[in-house]
Amino acid sequence: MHKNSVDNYEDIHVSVKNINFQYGEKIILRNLSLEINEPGLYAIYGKSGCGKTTFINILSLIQKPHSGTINLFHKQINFEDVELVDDLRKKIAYFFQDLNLIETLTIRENLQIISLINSQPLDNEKLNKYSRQIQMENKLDIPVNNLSGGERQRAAFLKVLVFEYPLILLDEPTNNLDEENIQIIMDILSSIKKDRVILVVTHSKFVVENSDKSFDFIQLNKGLKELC
Amino acid sequence: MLKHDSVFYYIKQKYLKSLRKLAILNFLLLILIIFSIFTVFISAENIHNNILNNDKLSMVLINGYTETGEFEYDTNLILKLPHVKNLTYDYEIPLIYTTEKEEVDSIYCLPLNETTREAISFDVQVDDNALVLPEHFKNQKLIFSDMNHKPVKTTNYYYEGSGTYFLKDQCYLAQPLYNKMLATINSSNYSDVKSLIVNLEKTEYIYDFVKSFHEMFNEDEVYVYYQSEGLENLVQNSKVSFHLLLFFQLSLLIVIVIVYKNSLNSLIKLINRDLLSLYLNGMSSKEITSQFYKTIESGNKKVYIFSYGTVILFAILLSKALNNEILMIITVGLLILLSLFILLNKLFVKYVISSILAKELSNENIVSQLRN
Repeated sequence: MHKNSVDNYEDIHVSVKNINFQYGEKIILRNLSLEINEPGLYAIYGKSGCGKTTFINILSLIQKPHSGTINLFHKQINFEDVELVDDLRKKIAYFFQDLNLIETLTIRENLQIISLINSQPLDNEKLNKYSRQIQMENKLDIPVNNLSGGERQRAAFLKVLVFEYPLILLDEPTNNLDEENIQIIMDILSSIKKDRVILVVTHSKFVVENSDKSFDFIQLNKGLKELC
Repeated sequence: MLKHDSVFYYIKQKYLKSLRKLAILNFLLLILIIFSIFTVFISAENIHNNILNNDKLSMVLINGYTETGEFEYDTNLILKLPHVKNLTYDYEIPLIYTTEKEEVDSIYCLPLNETTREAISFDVQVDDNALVLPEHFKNQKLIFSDMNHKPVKTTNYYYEGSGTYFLKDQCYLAQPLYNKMLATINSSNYSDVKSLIVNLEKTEYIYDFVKSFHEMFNEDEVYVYYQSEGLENLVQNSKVSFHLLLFFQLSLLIVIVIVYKNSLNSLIKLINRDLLSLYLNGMSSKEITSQFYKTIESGNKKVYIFSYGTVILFAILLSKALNNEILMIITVGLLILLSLFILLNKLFVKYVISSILAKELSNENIVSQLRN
């Protein structure tokens, strides 16, 4: 039943052209374009409330833009094509705080469930290796609701490391982490970036400095500053 | 460690109480539907067969008096009343008979016509001297005579039973013989009143008929009474009680459906954050709905088995009161009905889950949760 959801890493391609989005009268994204053709660690930085999360939601195919085109894995996204969207969403690791975790289950059980969703077997060796690296090896069988904020953040991060996703979208992954853990996370991300696109939305200077390429969100958003 | 194909397997461990509540409600829903239909069916059968469609009750014997004596009805007017099929308006003629033991007694006779034939379910062709008697007169050698003790030559026929309650043990004379005897009676100053027997299309119209009939007379001038007095209330009450039964059963069903839907809604609210996690982890709304339905359905399997068990238990309890053939029909009928409702129940559960989850997993709702 399990199959590798990553068909071909060479297909990794992110192209966003002139997307616009607004909540009512409030413009959030204005003619935003972004092109990523190579694997690597990319950062989008900007102050909170500028619309970065909306952009990540759109890129993760959760939210539909009002206009503009998105190409992922060399496929133009038609948001009305539910089957295509559902299929591609399985190739995207979307990290949003700790919302990826089911609170009443342990970290291991959560990963088991993700394994069922993305049809990738849970590799215990990988799990042990990464959980050791992020100092969570003793917490794997503890229910998520018994973990601290930082531990939850790291537990959620395990998904990105244990399973193989060609596109990883991380929304403020270092929010609840101390400097030591941020360093660990960035080291791990650097170690896995060679065959995937990792796009981190952040306001951490450290993350920006450690990325291969960074984008100023206001510039991407054609100078739209009103929200920031 | 989870070792299952369904992502919702954990619900069975973490939310057992809610699942049990849902299963119990679903069981109640199924059993209530089955037994509601059974009760309504039995009541309807009972009311229709024993009251509304009971031909024996569709006849009304009416007598009327004024202060000065017999009240003469206008039969043409009565025939025009709603739901009147036919009527007979004649004197009951006494007929004297002597048994082999020299015992003398009398019986009353009405003419054998369309109305009276229907009253005794008698459709045999008869000759002009026919006398139709209740079947208990069979095998008796009787000698008949009129009020003047003159022998009456008859050809005897017999009808089944002994007649409806106000025509009990009545006998019937072929019209020529009846006319002949009536002439004898008139000459001897017979003082009884004519009996008006009105045959209605159906018993259920008795209320309408009685109402219209009463409106024809001024109660201060004419005293009218009829043998089936009270029956119209019984018929009307039976109809009302049947509709009430239907109404209450339906109301109860609607209440349980609402409670079931709300309980399912509560469970989904409890796992609302989990649903968001599954969605963010790449699971589609369709997959979430399908797997959640399968999880609830797996709990419902026990409900379905218990429902079959309850029906069989009910059949065993009925076995003391019913004969095998009827019991078999009821049991098989209930089992077929139950299977049909299990199928409908599956569709209902699927529909409720789909509609609730479609709302919970709508794009707007997910984005709104992410924004909050």
